[in-house]
This record gives sequence, C-alpha cells and structure tokens, in this order.
Amino acid sequence: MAAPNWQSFAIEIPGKDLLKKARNALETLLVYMEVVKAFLETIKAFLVDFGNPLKALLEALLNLINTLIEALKRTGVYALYDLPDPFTDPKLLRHVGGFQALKQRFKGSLVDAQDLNRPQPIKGALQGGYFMIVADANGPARLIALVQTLLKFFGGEFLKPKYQPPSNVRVVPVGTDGDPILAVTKIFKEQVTALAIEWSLPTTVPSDDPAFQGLASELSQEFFPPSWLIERSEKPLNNEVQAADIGQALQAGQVVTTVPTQFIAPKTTFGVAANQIVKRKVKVKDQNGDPFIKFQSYAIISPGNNPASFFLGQLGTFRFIDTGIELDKTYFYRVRAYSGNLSFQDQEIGALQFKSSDIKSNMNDGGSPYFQWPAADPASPVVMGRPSAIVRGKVPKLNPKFDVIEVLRRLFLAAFSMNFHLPLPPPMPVKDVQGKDVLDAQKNIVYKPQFTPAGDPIPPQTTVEDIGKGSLTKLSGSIASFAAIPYISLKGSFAGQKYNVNEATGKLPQMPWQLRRVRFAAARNTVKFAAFFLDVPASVVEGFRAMMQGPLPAGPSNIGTLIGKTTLQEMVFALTQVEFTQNAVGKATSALLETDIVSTDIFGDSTVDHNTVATYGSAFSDAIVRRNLLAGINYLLALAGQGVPPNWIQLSILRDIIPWSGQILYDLLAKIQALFDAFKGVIEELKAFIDLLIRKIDTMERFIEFLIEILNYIESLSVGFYLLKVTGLDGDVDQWFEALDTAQNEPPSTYTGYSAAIAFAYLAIDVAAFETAFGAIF
Amino acid sequence: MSDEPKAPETPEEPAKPQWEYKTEFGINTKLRDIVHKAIDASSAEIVSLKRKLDRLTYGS
Repeated sequence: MAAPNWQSFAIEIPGKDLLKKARNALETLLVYMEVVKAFLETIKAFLVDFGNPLKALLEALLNLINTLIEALKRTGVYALYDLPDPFTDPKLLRHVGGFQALKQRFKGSLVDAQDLNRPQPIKGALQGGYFMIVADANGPARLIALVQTLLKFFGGEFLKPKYQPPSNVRVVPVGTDGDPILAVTKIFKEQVTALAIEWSLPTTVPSDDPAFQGLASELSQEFFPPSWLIERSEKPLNNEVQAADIGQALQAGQVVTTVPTQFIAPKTTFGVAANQIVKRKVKVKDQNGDPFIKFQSYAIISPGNNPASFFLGQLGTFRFIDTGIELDKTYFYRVRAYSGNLSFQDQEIGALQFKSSDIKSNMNDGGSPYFQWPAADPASPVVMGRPSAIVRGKVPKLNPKFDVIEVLRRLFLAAFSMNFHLPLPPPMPVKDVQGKDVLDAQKNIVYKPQFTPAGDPIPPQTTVEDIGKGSLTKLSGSIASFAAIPYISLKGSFAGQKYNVNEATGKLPQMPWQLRRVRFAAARNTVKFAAFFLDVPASVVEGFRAMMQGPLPAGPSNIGTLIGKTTLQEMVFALTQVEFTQNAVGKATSALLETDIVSTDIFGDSTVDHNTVATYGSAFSDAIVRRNLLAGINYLLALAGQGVPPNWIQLSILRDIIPWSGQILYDLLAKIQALFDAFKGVIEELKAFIDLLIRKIDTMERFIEFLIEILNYIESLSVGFYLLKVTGLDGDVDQWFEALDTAQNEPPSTYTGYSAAIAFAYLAIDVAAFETAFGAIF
Repeated sequence: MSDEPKAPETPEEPAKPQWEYKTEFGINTKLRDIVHKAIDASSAEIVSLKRKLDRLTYGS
C-alpha cells in the first residue's frame, strides 16, 4: 500500500505502542513545553524581588506556553508521518515523484478504508483542519537532511536533572553556643556534645547538551536549590549488605545482590547444586550509576524540614547540626542533593524505610539491579543527586577531673627544663685488649651501654643529668640549642650564682619554664599530642590520665616542694609552679574588659618562688625525678611522635616565628573577637547582602549564557520547509482534497524530486483550542 | 440534500489556504524574540547590580 497510515493520538492514553511515532513526537513536544514552563516559572519566582522588565516578558511566554499545553492536553489529533525510513527503503523509492506524488499519497491516506485511524470528516457534523509540513528536495540525501532537522524539533531525549555532589563537606565539633570549635585545645576545655556537617553548593559545569534540558535543570538548581539528604552511619561502610537486609536500619555498607548467570553448574560446587544456574554477586547501583551504599540513619534539609538551615544555606554554606551523637564514637557522614518527596516524615535524624522491592532491574541495561529511592508518592519519583565523599567525625569523651591540655603542657615544660631535648653524649665503643674497637657479627662497632636496665646512669659514660636526654630531641623544634641550667639547689648555689633580683632590670632571673621559647615549644607539642588524642579512642586518653594521676612510676621524691607529691601530675605542677602578678597595664585592661587578663610579658610578670627554684635545682640532678618525667614522656612517645629524623616540625606562626608572645596575641584576638561579636550581626548581614548580590550577578550571567544556548538551539532548528495551514473545514473529505488542490504557491519539486511530510489533522465539535495551539506552534 | 438557498447564511469566505515557505516554526520565532529581550533586560540588570555592588564595596 502506497499511502502512509494515519495514527490517532491522545496524550492521556498511556502505553499504547500503536501510537509510536505520533505519540513520541507530540508527547515530546508536550514535555518540551512543560520543561520550558517549569524553567520559566523558576526564573519568575527568582525575580520576585527584582521588579524588572524581565518579569513581564516571562509572563508573556508563560501564558503562551500554558495555552499550548492546555490545548494539547485537552484534545486528540491525528498525525501522519509520510517520512522516509532509510532502513526499509534505502533508496527512498516511496518518496520519489516530488510534491505531486506526495499529494496523491496524502489524499490516498484520507480515503484508505483499511486505515481505521484516519480522520473521517462528516459534512456539517464536525469541524476540522490540518497542517502539513512538507520537506521538498531534488535528491534523497537532501530530503534526509531536511527531515532530520525537522524531526529534531519534535525529538530529543529529556534528561532528568542530575545533581552534582556537594563540595567542601566537613564535620566539625560544635560548642554549646553552636559555633564550630576549630582549636584543638578548646575541645579539651569544653565538653562538646554535637557535630556540625557543613557543605557548599555543588559547582555545576555546563556540558554539551543539544536539547539544553541539562542546562535548564542545572540553571534551575541555581535558582531553586534542591533539598539535601544527610546520610549517617556509626560503623565503617566497607561492609556488604545483602539486598534482602536493606530494611534493617542498623545494617550499613555496599548493598549487593545475586543475579543469575548464563552458566549451569555441571556438578555441585561452591554451594551450588549440580545442574543449577550459577549466580554471581553484583553491587547494586543507585539511579546515577554510583554504587549504592546504605547508611544507618538519614536526615533531611528542605524548606519543610529544618527550614532555618535550608534558607541560611542559600547564602552559600549549608550546615546540619547532629545533636544525637554519643561521645567517643566515630560517625560517618555523606551529603547529597535531591528533589521530590522522600517517604520520610521525621524532623530529626532517623531511619528511612527501605524495602527489598526498592531494588529494581534496569531493563535498558540487561536487567542490572539498581536502587530506586522510596518516594512519598510513587507516581512522582525522587531524583537523587550524586553523593559527596564520606567524611567522619568524633567527639572525644573527656574526664572532667583531668585537664589534658594543662597536664601535657606542664609535663613538656618540666621535661624541657630538665634538658630532655638535648642529645645524649656520644656512646663509647668497647675496646679489646689491643685497644681496637670490638665488632659484632655484622661488623658493626659495639658500644658500651649508657644506662642500666633500671634506667640508672653508668659512669663515666653518663651521669644522672643525662637521664631523659635525647627523648625529646625530635620534638625540640626551635629550642634545640637551648640548655637549661639551674641557679641554685636546696643545698646552695651553683658556681656562686644567686637567685636574686637583678639590680639592672629590677627583676628576678627567669627559670626555663618561664622563657617564651620553652613555653612555645611546650605549647606546640601539647597541641600535637592533644590532636592525636582526638583521633584515638577515649581509653587512650584515660591511659595517659592513669599515668599522670596514678602512682609515680619511679617512686616518690623527697626533695623540697616535691615532698608529698604522689602523682606525676602533682610533680610536674610543683616543678613548674609560677606566680602571676598583674601590672598596672594588666589591671587597667582587666577593669576595662571586665575580665581577668593573665597574660605575661605585657600585662604582668610571672615569678617563681625561692623554694620552687631550689627544688628544681636539686631535682635537676635527681634520678628519681628524672626517671618519673621520662616515664611520662616515654608513654606519650610510645603513642605517637615516632619518626625517623630528620623530621618535619610543626610551627605555629604566632608562637614560633613572630617574636611576640603567642599567648598575649591570642588573648588580644579574643578581646577583638568580643568587640567584633558586638557588630557581628550587622557585618554578617552586610556580608550576606554583598554575597547575595554577587550570587545574583553570577546567576544572571549564567542565565544570559543559557539564553544564548537557546538562541543557538533555535538556529540549529532552521530548515527550509513548506507549510500549509488549512482551517475551518466543515465538509467531507472532498473539501479536504479541494483545499490541498487549490492552495497556491505549492512546493516546486517535479516528478524527479523527493518529498516527505508531517501532517497533523483534527476533527471536533469545537476546534478553537486546536487552532490556537497549532497556530502558535507552527 | 436540501435545495434551500444557502448563500445568505454563508459566513464571509475564509482566506484561501496557501503554501508558505518558512525557515522555522512560529513558536521558535516568538521564543527567539523573547530570548533577545530577556538578554537585553538581564544585561541591564547586571549593570545595575554591579553598580550596586561597587557602591557597597568601595563606597560612593
């Protein structure tokens, strides 16, 4: 049969394969309109506060599109595709004969009694009309090119929006006031009870996209950021979860399932009975093709849940504070954007109800299993974005009776004051009777031992003052060349020195633990080990506490102020005791700021009383004190701080490089912060407003880029074609023929030419909607 | 078929349909027009926003 078939078309009828091309083309057109409409509506909403002329333009376009959508939805049309099919008719023989042949095929299709879908006009009963779009060429190649461009208008794949992973995801502990705590030392000062997960909007990079739907969705994300899903797990995610177990909230890890292979096991092997199909394990993927990893609990940030976080996030950084955490437990988090409604009602963090039926087969991909996120309304599936990397966070459990930071600092001050950072004297080789070095089996020189197994020195190789030396060499940093020398001991002075006020300066000499560089070295190592304690279970900190607050490892000392000190903590506090005296500047500043300023160097002086100085002098040469301190240091070194020299050292710019007291700078910064806080509200608002302006400019620039993309796309649709609009028909099929025959300026191709056509026809009692829709489109 | 005269009832003759040679569909023409206007309006908006930003950042 020469004449092509008419096909009826109604958008509401789902899944009728009969409708194929017509359904595809017009439905695509409808979806195209819906996408453009949705896009324009988001822009319109975004422009609410702009009050600019764009709004009126968008209104106009929206009205036009609304009319089209309504008209197309309400009505059914007939579509005729008289198009070449190079697969079944490679020489396009059906289309040879030019426009005159096409006209005959068109007429034939209207009277083809076997084509039940053809429009059958009845005189006086129905109104009708048709639109014919004709591609007219003088050769088959040209016809194919024309038809391809024409179909581009109707075709095109409509992609789902794909949200990129959020960026800059991090977990930080937060204090009672909700502010993130970024200083390690502060975490040990105040029991933290919550973790904040922070992230930024994903960066979208437009890619080539002929139908610009991807661009539309990306741009609409800029205007209307999606909701966010925060995934949390208390256990590492390197486990496997069987697909049947995804309903169990406590399970977490990569979801796997088994799929049948094409093989049959000839004999029983690996638990598969003989003559059974062999199954293999596969990872379940999510809708984006990434492996689906199930977490234990989930939270949502959207305008409905956590509105404050959601709207604050529009300024750039989103934050979710997880208060439901247990201390000393590591949590794993991930963040992803999504749109739609998840079947999840809880305001707080909670479980998502997964069912094994949520794992479906992708029939476009050989049936590979994938996870469909459960939507509140199954008719509108959730579009889930790609996840961020997994980040982890932990809040350490602190013992309120143990000030980790101060104890660490005092231990290091005491150890540095005892020269633990200086190297040991070089070892002496063992000599044989001839005075030559003794070699071991590996031909290495054998050295004499420097200490007894109990830790006591072996003269003349070492003395008591060498106990502990070398233990902190790797951690000495900027005090590597500093040597502490005691002034006096309980028995008298060393080499005639006195611990008296210097007549020139009017001040007492400074003890090692008062010196800035020693204090900085101690503070630096304190931060280093405190940071280590944050990463390990609280039991390790508890072990350190037992060391410092338990019985003295080398026994008690009976020297001066150390008498009666039964723990290492008491011992290091007594050894590094200082008294602070505020000077006039300190008093005035304290009164002004209504807080006690305790920094030395500017606001006052620290002094060390005579007993402490003398005790230090005696302890300097006391094996028991030294061995006690060494036990504390060795305990720390056994946990961390190991490495092969030369080692990188941690420097703090404020403490080590700028020759100022770090402590005073920190205090001043704290006060400046207090002043800043007073203005914080105003500054934050201004900053937010400026950020908003910048963001608007960026978005507008992207909007223009997008508009230019649309222009380019429109240009790519340009193609020469002939259009015939026939409206107002109320007669029978003869009237349809007559309209075609009498139409002027018909396509010029002769019998050697090639013609193809797309025709849309309508027949109804009221055809106003059709005419509006087609008039607007074509 | 009735022999009644129809002439007086006939509404005015609709314009005879005729073929038009076109290079694009009507909706694309409209869309292009609106896109052009939207680009102009957006550019003007950007200029105004940038001016506002400069004033906020550097003062007037």
